[in-house]
Amino acid sequence: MEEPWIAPLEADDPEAAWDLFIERYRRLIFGAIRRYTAEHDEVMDVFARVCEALRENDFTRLRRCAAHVEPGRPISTWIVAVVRNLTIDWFRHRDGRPRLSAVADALPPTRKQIFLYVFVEQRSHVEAYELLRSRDGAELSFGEFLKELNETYRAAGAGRRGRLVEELGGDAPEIAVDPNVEPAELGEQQRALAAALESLSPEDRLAVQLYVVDGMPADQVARALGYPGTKTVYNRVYRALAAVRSRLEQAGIKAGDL
Amino acid sequence: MTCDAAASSAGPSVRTTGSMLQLIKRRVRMTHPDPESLVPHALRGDDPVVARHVQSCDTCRAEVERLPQSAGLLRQQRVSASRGETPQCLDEIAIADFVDGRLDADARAPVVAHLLTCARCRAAVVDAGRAVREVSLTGTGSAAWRRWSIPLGAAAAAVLLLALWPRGGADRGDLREPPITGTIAPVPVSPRNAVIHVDQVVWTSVPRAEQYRVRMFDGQGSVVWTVETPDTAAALPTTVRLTRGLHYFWRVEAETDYHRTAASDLVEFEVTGHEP
Repeated sequence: MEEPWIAPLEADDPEAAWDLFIERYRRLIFGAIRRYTAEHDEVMDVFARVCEALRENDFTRLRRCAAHVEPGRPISTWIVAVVRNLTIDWFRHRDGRPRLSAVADALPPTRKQIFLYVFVEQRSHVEAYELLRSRDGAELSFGEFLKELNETYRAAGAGRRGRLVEELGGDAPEIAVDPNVEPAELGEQQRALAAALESLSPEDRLAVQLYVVDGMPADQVARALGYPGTKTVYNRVYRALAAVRSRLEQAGIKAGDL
Repeated sequence: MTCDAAASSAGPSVRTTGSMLQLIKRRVRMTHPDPESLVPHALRGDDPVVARHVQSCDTCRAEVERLPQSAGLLRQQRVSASRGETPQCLDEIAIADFVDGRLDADARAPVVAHLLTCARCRAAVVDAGRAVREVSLTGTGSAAWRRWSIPLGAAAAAVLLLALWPRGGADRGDLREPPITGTIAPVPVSPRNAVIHVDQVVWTSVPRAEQYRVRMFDGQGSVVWTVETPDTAAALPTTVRLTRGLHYFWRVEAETDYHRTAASDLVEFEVTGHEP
């Protein structure tokens, strides 16, 4: 697929390049933004920000993309990645921040703080728990915190910016987390799990992480890691999960105990 | 891997006939799927062949029950994952290259090493992969996207070829909620067939639907507009310009509790009036 905007960009006519670029990709950019918010005004504001960012510093971002383009290779993945970063950035740091604050203001005090730590400041759940206790004086167990956290996810994700909130806060905690477990115990589990997976190569460990934990489809994992097909992904996942189970059974821990 | 059913033994008072011997000798072999084939069914529930096997195989059913338990232990570790940005975080070109599978082993190694430790970049990778599947790739109807099967799926393409338009008096236009018998699909109400102007799309509601997703396509299969809303109507943005005389298509998908979805038929319309 030819990219007609590259030639004028390289010929030092960036405005002509810009016109061709935006004509070609306007709908993609809008579609990518609308994945995060259904509010028409926000979509338009973020679109303006995306255009501004792509034009900034003499079209630096576009020039870097142009230098990287190969004939026949679509740049759509790059565009959606740019839009994602700019959309999240707009809501977290710029004009969209009041909108996020409005979401937080509708929550009870503890959940409001959780929202600010996890979704706005993008801290881990464990960090948010520690801050709630140390900074905010909240007296709640980790299990109670996880309940509040799940309710915060539910409330924050229910609105017209549900996908955006998901991207800001990441996935809600696993339902099966033992409500009586403390963060220190989770650290021990993490070390045990890491030991169970150390026999896998880094790429295989990432395949397991992306498929099992992050929910990436197997065919996309396979393509990203250069595997021959999805069966390789399933094979790595199966080996990893078997190793996890075996390691923990050796330690006298069954999955149902955690 | 196979397992043989054990032959039964006849009592001393029973004379074993030739045909009975044949039956005893005939071995019933049960073929199990490869262990890794259990993974997509166990973790995502999306393999009907394995599902049927598991119903009658205790061995595989036990394995299918164990796999999610181990997976849950891995997912528990998400509570420790921070999504803050670091100087080592990947730029958009690196993310796109990784998602598109364009990195050779040498180039991929440092990206893999970073992704193993960075929840922020992993989220960017996963979302980029999801986004390119959900959103139109050019919007200009280039040759690569004139193939129906890519944006619409084979089933939707078949519906289109059967020529839904026009439906005339058989159109279902009522807006009453149907009885709750299962996951029912929404029905596009407007626009349908020939319309002078389009400023919104409207559809019937689905009981317990939490979110609806609308997608509108041009005649070449490119997505011209997509929106998600909890309502049963959505205003067409002024930035989406529909050309008079061209045919467009749209469908709406309802997401109910437990993330079940039900999609409407693909509906065709043509704008006959002037553009706004």
